Amino acid sequence: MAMARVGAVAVLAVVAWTSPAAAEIESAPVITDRTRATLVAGEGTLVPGEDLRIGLRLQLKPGWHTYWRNPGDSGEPAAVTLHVVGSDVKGPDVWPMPERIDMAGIVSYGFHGDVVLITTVPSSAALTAKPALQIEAEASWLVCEKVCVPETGRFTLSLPAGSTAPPRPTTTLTPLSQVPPVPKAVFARTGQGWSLRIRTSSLDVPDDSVVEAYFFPERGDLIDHSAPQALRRQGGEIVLDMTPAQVATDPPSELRGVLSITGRRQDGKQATLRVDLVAQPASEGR
Amino acid sequence: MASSALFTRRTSLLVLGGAASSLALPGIVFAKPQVSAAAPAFSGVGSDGKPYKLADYRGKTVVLEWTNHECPYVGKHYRSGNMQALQKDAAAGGVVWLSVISSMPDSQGYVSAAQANDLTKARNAVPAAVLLDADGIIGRAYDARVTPTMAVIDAKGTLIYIGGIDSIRSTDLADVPKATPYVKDALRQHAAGQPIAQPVTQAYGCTIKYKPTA
Repeated sequence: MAMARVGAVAVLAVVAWTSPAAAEIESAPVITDRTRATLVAGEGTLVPGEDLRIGLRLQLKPGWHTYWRNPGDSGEPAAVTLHVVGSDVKGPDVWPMPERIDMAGIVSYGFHGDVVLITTVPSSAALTAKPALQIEAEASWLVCEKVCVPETGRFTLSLPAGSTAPPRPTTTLTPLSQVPPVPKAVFARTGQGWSLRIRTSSLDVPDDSVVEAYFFPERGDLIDHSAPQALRRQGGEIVLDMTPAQVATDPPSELRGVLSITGRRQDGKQATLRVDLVAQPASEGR
Repeated sequence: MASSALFTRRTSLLVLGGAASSLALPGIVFAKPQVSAAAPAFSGVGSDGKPYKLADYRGKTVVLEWTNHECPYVGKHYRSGNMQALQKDAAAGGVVWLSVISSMPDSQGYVSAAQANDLTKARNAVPAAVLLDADGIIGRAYDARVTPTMAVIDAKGTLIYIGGIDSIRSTDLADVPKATPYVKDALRQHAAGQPIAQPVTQAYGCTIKYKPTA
């Protein structure tokens, strides 16, 4: 998953977080009244020289939700510790695009339904040194509906090492990457808050067709998650004006997060894109 | 995959033409209390049936503690004894501690007056009073969004602290001694005549189950 970091923005196509393909390896489940939790890996994803992605899969009962890396105004993100070849790897570090969950005006960022939260294990020779890789894990997560319930689980998974590198089947754990020109995004602190400007000319959704946009920042102390974000369109770019959080913070050196943008594509269809942004501070005079 | 629940009814304003005029955000549900400014006035009823209002406490430091006994984040601070210890220290220092329950009827945390009194006894809590704020008026006046949320008001009625109880967002009791105790520090600094080092912090916890606004 390549992300350009300097003065540019990385774009990932929407990852299809549908039910896992049949070719997935799943641990024994941890089951509660609300949740069926497993550790999952895509078959054929243990390939020499490549990072390994292990998912915490949470299948939640209708009405229940869990939280994104920035949970918004309430809640708490899941935490995973993988024990792999004698090391601990903490995650998750790769998350689906969240939803805004509005409870009487208080907004959290999270997920309903069936969600897979990924922890990336950096590649090393040790991963494929043996015919099978044993992974143990502990995880904790919070599920809420009208009440909140913290849950935990322990999992084990055994992955066969790939002897060759077969064509990788696409599973829920393989983000699809596209390589369009990368849009630029800059941010600035204005009198009223944070202003985020994104050049949309290279996205598949031209700025004059954008009907809705929302920015989910990774940091939880920057914006007021419960306030609306005002959208403007101006000549090849969109601007989101966001209310600041009450907590005073030093201005960040970059603004990382996920932009959800809904508009009409070139083919005439309305679509919602996920755009992973690393916005840079606006330079003077812009 | 687009989520239909992605955008709420309060969707983004769309301003065509890109005019860089001043921003007009739609009406925000919460007031924005400011530290170093007058704390929002309130009046409410306690679980003892008596009326309580902020103006009654000129001359005293007041702590407001939003609580929901069914929230695991509140549970962390009560099961560990942390909240009760803070309440006890406050009382010893002449600080008036008011617990506030802003859950709407039949929601998590909502209790009748009798139940609130039973809870106070059962968990050995020692607030000066428990305010029953089922309409959410006090909560919204202070922009309280989660439990626990804490506010401290000085003897002149100025808001001097608002935010979380401490620095570690978790339900794990083991984190209580590891966290920076924001409220404890604020009260100690204030009592010593020192400025409060961190007067605004991010609260963590369970969403307050407010009555929806119209």
